[in-house]
Amino acid sequence: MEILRCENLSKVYGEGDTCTNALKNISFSVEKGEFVSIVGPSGSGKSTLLHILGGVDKPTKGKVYINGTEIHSLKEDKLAIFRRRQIGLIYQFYNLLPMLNVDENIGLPHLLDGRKLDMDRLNMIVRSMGLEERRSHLPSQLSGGQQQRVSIARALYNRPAILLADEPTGNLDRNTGAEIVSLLKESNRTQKQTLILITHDENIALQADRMLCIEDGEITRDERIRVLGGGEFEKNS
Amino acid sequence: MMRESGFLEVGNLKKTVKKTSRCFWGSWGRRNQIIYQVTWKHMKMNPKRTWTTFLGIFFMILLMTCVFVGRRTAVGYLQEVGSQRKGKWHISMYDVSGKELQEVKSLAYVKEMACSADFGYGDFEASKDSTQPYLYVKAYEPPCFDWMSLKLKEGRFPKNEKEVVISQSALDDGASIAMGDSIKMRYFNRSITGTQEGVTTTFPFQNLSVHFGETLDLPWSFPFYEENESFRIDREYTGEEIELTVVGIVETPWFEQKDAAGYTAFTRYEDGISSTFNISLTLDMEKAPGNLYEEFLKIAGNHEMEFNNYVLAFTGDSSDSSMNLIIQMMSAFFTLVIMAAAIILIYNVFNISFEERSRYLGMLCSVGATGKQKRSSVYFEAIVLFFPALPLGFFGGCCVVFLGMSLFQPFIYTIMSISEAVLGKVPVSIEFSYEDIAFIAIISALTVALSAILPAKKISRIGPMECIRGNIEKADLKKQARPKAMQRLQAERLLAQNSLKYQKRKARGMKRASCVFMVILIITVSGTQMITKLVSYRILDRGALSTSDEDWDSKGRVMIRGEKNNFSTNISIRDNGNGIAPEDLGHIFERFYKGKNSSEDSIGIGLPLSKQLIMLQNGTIHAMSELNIGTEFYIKMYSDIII
Ligand SMILES: Nc1ncnc2c1ncn2[C@@H]1O[C@H](COP(=O)(O)OP(=O)(O)OP(=O)(O)O)[C@@H](O)[C@H]1O
Ligand SMILES: [Mg+2]
Repeated sequence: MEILRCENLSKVYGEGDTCTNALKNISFSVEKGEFVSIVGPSGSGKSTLLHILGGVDKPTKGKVYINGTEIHSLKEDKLAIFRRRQIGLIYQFYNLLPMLNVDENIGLPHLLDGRKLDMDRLNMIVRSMGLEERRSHLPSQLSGGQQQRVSIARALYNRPAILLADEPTGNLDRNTGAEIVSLLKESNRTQKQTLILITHDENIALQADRMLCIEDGEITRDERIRVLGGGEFEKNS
Repeated sequence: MMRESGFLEVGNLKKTVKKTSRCFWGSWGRRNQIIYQVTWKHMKMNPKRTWTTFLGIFFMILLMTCVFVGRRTAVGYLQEVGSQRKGKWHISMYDVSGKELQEVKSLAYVKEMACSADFGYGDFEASKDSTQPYLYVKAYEPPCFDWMSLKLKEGRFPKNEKEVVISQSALDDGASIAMGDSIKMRYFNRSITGTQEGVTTTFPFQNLSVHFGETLDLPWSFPFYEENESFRIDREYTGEEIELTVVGIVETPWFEQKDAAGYTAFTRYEDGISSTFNISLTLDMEKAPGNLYEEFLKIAGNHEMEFNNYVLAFTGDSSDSSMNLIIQMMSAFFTLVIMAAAIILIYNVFNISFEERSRYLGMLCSVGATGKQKRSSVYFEAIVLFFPALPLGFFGGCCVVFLGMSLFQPFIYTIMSISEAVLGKVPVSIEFSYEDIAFIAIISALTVALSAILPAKKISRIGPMECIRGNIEKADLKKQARPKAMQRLQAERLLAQNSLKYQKRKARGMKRASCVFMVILIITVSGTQMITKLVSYRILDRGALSTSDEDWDSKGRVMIRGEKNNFSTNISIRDNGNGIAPEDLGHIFERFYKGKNSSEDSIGIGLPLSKQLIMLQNGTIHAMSELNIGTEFYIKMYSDIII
């Protein structure tokens, strides 16, 4: 079953001489429960693509369908509500509110929705992220890796249908990074959560079901590594 | 241990969340609760900016309070001072009949009414002053005692027409009278007859001349004269002898005249005591019509009538008073200025913080805050600051008004020519009505709302991308010139630039805010001066002033003459201009009246205002004019001494 599809996505930054074509006519679709990794050199447009898929940025051209909804045609407020309920975004630069502590930051999208926090869920997530001793700390009192883990916890808390992660392991050491990725994978498998993950780490990229290579705003390779639900493909380049 | 403290925190959070869910504003409120929390924390993290906004709102409310409470307090104070002079009544009518009483009673805007009568003179044997051998007895209904500002020294006010209270002045002069004494007397009126052929006797201070053979009734304040050749004073008894009991002593009334023939005494007025009597009344100024004066003149016919201008000039909307118009226009003007200034100020303060705000709001947005939620952040801040600022600003405004009034007090001596002894007795008291408070609250809430709406609109346009990549800062950084000394370390330089930029913007905002307040102050101060000048210009541009008869033939001359005696200062101002047409002469003191000969730029406010001012100082003004010869104004200022 298809959960996400994008058609002819283009993104142009700026105007005139200084304009950048960050994305050029990108189309692909993702099945429910699929784990897709996106790789590519720096500045190739990975983050831009992810932000457009997550609904926080608007494409210059093209459409994004999530569960059949064309998200960029939604009104701003509708889109905000859609995002906080359906999509979990892990940002490259964390985006934690400096005045809220760890617990509050994690529960924020939920609280914005006017719902009560589920304490068992919160405890579980905090424990699995290894943040138990930092719950009442402010982001400024945390290391980069800890902040990254808070932003992952925030994205996971809501059990979103789609999880979009922008270099979630960029600031973590190898072991912690591997742990986090296995956690995301676990969540992906048990909850049938769709996971799209940007990484520079080839090991992580190869753990996905499918790998997209982006260069200069274009998809240069789209490889299936595993069949959905197990079994391994041979690479055919 | 750490784990436990962590759980404690969760417990707290759980509590807040629970509390939140029971919020009276339901799920909408719950949805915004987190926004409020974030905003509140943001405010606490930026105390300087928060205080600036707070002070902006505070001063705005303070100034509003100054305008409204100040106006009411000043008017109330002047009214109180005015009533010290002549009493609290608004209008008195003399020698009216029962029919006219009914007519006045039926007027919707008459609030209270009381009757009084002058019974006349009676022999006062206890007097020790040979020039004051009488008592002059007035009969009052109870409200009159208060309205005429009579104060008991001892005893009580009379309960019937057989009881009297006597002026303290009699005792001061050594009269052998005390409470409980009884006085036998027969009331009489006095008249004067000229007895010497060819001689006209003039009494300048009573405005009275008597020719040979002429008989005139005497006013009650007429002095006592020994027998002489030029005139004769006769008595006319009005009733049988009665016996009065002294039940009290009152402080010397303000209206008692030292040179009158008798001391004042008061008894109780009862219905039907006399066929003609005086009525005093107070009006409900909200309901009073604009043509109040004419209306009463119509009822009074040819009876004598008096308007208590000391009180009326400062009361309500009596549209006859130019003073009130000025007061009203000024407060409307100041309110507008203050509102405009406050909007500029608060809008600026909200805007200064735009960058910091867009950071956290962008972050909120990136995790799914809606536009409404972003806007509610600004509104929340405005409301949180407004509610404590309202009572504090109001209180502060009252303090300023009190201080201002206390400082202003000495000038009232000169303006109203009232002795300090009286003024000292009138304490400044802050006056305001619930409508005033409501009005101040509504106007200032409106101002805050207006100045928050624009920034809120702007803020709700901030998208999530603004902060994901930190674009706002990047864009601004490019424009910033780099201080050379700070280029050593990259990170350090960036930090320094950041704070420098912030400081600069803040300084700009503060400068703008203080400019605004300077403007308000200047306008407030110069506003009053402007009006004074306006009046004096209107007087001056009529022609060159002159005090001698020289050059009288050339046009555009004004001559001023003055004389002063013990009782009044008389001034005459004469010009050799076009004169005033006879049909206009009766109207020149009416506001906005323009006569045939009046100049183009005349708006018809100078003379009415002059009259108002002269009347306030217990003076009179009238004019005589002949076309093409000139006009002469006569001003008489009574130097009446009270107390
Ligand atoms: N706001 C912007 N204005 C102008 N150009 C932009 C903007 N954001 C991104 N770009 C440009 O778009 C291109 C793609 O940027 P993007 O952040 O998507 O790259 P990336 O693949 O995520 O790189 P990295 O691996 O370093 O995170 C870059 O050339 C970048 O300079
Ligand atoms: Mg990136």
